[in-house]
Amino acid sequence: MSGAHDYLRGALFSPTAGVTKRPWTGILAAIDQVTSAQSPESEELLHQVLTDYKGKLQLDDDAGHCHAMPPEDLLRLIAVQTLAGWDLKGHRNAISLHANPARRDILGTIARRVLRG
Amino acid sequence: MPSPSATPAAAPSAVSLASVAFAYAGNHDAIRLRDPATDQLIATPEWVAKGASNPAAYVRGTRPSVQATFSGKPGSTIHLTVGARSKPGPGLTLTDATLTFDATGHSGPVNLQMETALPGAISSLQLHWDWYSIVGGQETSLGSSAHEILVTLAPLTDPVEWAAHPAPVDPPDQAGMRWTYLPLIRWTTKWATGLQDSKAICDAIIAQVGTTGLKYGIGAWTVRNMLNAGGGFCGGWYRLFQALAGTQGVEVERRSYLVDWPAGAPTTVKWCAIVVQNPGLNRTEPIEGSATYHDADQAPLSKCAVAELTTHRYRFWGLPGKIADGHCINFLKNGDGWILYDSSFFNHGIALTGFTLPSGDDPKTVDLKSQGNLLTAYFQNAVGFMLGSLENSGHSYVTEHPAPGGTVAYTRNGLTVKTQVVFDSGDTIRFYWST
Repeated sequence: MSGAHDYLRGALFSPTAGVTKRPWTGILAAIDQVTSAQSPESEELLHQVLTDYKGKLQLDDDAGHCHAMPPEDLLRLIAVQTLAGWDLKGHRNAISLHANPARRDILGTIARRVLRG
Repeated sequence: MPSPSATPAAAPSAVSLASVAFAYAGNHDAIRLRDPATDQLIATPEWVAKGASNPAAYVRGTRPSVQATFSGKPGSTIHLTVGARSKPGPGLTLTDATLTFDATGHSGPVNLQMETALPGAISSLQLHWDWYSIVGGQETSLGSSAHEILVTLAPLTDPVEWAAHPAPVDPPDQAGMRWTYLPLIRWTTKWATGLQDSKAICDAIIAQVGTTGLKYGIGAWTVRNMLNAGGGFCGGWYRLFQALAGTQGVEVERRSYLVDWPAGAPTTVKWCAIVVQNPGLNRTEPIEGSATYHDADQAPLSKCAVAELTTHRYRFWGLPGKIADGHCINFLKNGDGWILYDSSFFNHGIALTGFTLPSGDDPKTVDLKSQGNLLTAYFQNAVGFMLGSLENSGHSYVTEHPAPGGTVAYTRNGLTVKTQVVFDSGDTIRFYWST
């Protein structure tokens, strides 16, 4: 279990998630490490990002922002692309959760695209 | 038990107006309006005696029907003719009605139609209706009501195009009807009063949207959240602009151009982020914290002078080998061409020639050089610099984002190249295009 996995879990699923402000760059750095190499732990965590995470991040203003989409959706977007690259078949159902045709956003568009193969 | 008393010839001195409904169930002429604070449809009846007074909205030329209820003697029934005069604007046609008052003194609804159709152009009416009845040739006042009526150019566009998913759940008798948020339609009927064509309406919207006080750089990405939070990032602004145009039936497209950061970790990366100096709507400075940049504004990039400065700019980051962040804008089809609207950073539309709108459903990278005058008419003015990793005079300017080493919260900028210089240097820029 790496520090990056712990950091990301803490930011998304801990009791302080959604309360404690964190730097966006820190969260990005964590998910960058989590996605840097395929492992069961990384797959499970990214899968959870798609299936279980319903929260809202609290971010430090100074550390940059997401512009085109909410930061939560950018994390999901990274998870969608990473899991599709690692094992599309194994994560198809989780990706499908974000591929509803009624979604007119970047995450929905990319999720539908990766499912089309 | 006594039967209700019928007094067809008596003056209804005890009868008074209780409520007026516009968007009542089954009335498909009235535009459904939603309150962004609650995400619920504006309650109907819109006007209640000594109570609420909410606007109603219709497409131009509509001759609306309304439903009125009255208060009277509990348990009584009365036959009368009822109507309303207005100064100015249309009143309500005299209508025969039988009012039966329940134990609390409330009547059932009476349908009345406006005397004339609404104006044939975008407008806002302030109607003051003086209600009256005629019984046995004698006229009696039933009270008065005041109404704000918003008149639009055309039926609403489908909110599924811009609203957050999933859509709000409405009562069964209102489900599936198109709707908009009340502030949006109020604003556009004011800004676009009398305008008749799509381009003029979009031009008016982008010129006036700053008067709302909404800002760029607020943590909101949906129309509702923007209205409640006081602004948003571009992912909200392009929805808001689409929603504003949609209140007048104007269809505009949404597109994002997303940074294409090639995979791998070479010392030369073109490109990692777009860099914007413009503070955004109703801002005096970008809200992103200051960072140190290394600006290159001349070709050749390998040898030109590099200016180091620490300042506030926005960086819209890509991620290596993935589709990530970028900027979001709108497009209006205008004859054979397109008009670009970037409400985050501009107060006017930009005419494009030789431009083909990329698909929003199948993101692929597109070379800016292949997109007509998008580069010269818009992009070079919108995006001051492209951030990459490049060599210059023997020094390697490497962009690190996110920072290596796990959770250390910092980012290091490589070389920020003036956008025009990218092309002067023989390079180009590609973006993924998406909805």
